[in-house]
Amino acid sequence: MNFTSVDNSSYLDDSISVNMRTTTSTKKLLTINYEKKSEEYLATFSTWSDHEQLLFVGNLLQNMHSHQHGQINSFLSPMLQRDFIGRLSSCGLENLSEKILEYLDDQSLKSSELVCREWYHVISQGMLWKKLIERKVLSDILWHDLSERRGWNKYLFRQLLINKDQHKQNEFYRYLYPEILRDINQLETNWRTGNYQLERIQCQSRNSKGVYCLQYDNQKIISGLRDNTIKIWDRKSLECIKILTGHNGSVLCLQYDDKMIISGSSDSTIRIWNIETGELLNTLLHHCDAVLHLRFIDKMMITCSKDRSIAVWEINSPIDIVMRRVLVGHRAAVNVVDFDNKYIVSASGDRTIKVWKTTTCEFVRTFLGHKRGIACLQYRDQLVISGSSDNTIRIWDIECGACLRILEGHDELVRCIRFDSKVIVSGAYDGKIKIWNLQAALDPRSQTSSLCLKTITEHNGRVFRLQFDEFQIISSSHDDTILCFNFLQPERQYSLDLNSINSSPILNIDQTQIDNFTSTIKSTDNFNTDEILDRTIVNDLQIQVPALSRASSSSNSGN
Amino acid sequence: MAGHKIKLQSNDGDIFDVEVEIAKLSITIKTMLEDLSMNEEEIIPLPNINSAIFKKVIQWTTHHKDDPPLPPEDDENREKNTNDISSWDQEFLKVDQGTLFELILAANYLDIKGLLDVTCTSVANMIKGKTSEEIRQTFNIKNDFTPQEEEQIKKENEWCENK
Repeated sequence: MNFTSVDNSSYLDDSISVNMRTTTSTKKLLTINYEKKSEEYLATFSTWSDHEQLLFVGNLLQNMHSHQHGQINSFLSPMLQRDFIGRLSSCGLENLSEKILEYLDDQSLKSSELVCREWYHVISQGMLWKKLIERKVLSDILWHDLSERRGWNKYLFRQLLINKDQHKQNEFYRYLYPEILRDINQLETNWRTGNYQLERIQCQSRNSKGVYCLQYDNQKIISGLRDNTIKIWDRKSLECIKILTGHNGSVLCLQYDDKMIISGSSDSTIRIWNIETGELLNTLLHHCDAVLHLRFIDKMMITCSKDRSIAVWEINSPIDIVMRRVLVGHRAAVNVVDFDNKYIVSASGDRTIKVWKTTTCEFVRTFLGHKRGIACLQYRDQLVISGSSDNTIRIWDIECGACLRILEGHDELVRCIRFDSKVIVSGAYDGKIKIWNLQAALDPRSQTSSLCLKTITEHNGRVFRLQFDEFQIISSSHDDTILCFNFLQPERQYSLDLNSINSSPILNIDQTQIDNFTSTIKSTDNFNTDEILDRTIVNDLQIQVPALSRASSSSNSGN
Repeated sequence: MAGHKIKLQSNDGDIFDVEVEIAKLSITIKTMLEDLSMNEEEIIPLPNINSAIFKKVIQWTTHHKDDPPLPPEDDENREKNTNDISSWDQEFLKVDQGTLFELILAANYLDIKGLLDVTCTSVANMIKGKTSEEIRQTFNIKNDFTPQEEEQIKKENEWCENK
């Protein structure tokens, strides 16, 4: 038999023989005539061109019964199947196998490992767990920030190969992946259950106590105080590293970027400071009463004041800031402004929220609903969320001005509010901070009682300002403290169980890798290579061992 | 230059007249044309591609000739999204696995990134959401693990279950 035009001919033979046997056993033996003729026909068949063969088989099929077609189909279909991963790899095209596997999520990658040895090998060689982690880090801000905080980002992407970190194999990433998942699960549980570790900064203000505003990043917290100063704190040690003086009234609001801090005060001025040196660079005199809030993005700044007006500024440089427009319309102090490139949103003691076009400063609409003055709001994407002296929080649709939900639960004025895609965090004059489920709040079917996830009572005075991210809430209060609520357990380390890696029987593959590695070192290095290799491996193990013991001791002390 | 054609020959002898702009979606052909400054009437042989697959490739490149160029492959910045196969491509890729396999080889040989992406995505989609046994059935693969090995890997993978 010689089916030259069909690739995988051995497969065809097997299938036919299987098929024929089942047919003959139920009917009768093959005639001698058949055995002789069939070989003859097949010999003839193999002399024809590709096109002729196809034409002939087509005709042949038409001369057969439909029940035969079914049988033909059953041995044709496996012939048309391809083990893409195995075959591409055996053609030396591992890069294509890896490319396919790179599209998989964790569950599918897990299933793929168990398909057969070849697939396991390709996943291991292609470092697909590492690549999966890298994709998550690039696409998910939580993974990205976690990789930096936990330090495993140093094992990703193009690593600078320091001796002890050399040759992290697929196994390492395969164990790291579930560790990361566990860490994230724990973090989510901590948010849900209000399980945090508290860090406290006592501001020790001399005269008027209280911290009106703050902004933070991984290195520092910058706060504006009632005692007219701006204080900069080290985020790790929580020590005060700089005090900026110049305002003649409480510092009510501030924002900073990598160059400057801009602050607004009850002395009616706006001041610009060099963030590195703390030097006062500029003072803007415009408002005729306290500057209650300010926001800037790139070259645009918006300030609002107790004088009921909103000012729009153009920032050319810290020392060249020009007032462009004044927005009037509110009938009481404008307590807060927020904006993006589409809308400016302001809220006032006059119980209204007003929306203006960013490009033209044209008035768009007023949101009515709060029964008393509005103290705070944030505007982000499609939503505005506001907090009021009527003790409620309202969620609004920016485009139509509809109030989508009223959140009740605070017992006093809601002074500060922030939200991301998942939660709202609010702080009130009764000292309480509440975490709300934003997604549930947006679903009209949700029960009102289920929306508040957690109430945190740590402040002993009015909560003035807060900011949060995936890992923490930082808040400031009339009680003269800044509190950091850490939802990520700080001492947790990744405890890779290397013993089980070594005992894994499937890893004879990886053993050969290590052997190869040994031989390359031996052939290229001048040093006593056995010793170096030993040390490398031992180091590798040791990195994890202290981590393990740290993790267990910290979890004891933490609870 | 629109409409200007070149001749390409598959490994089973068929000759195809293909518009230069379409043929140039293949970086391999583009490089040949530029490097070898070939005579217009000269036939370019494609020794690794049979005519049935080459027809499919031309069909795909013709449909995609006006697509915006793909960003260059950057190892550290690849976003994998397996849901982004256009409906035309989905229809185009309704072929048996043998043909899909040949298409991957052809896209790789001809260096047509868009076709390679979409064919590989298509295979990934055949794997996604399946158990190991379902994957073996899909691709007719024999499980060659020993029971102990299989148990060991399963044990190591337990973390995925309690998500």
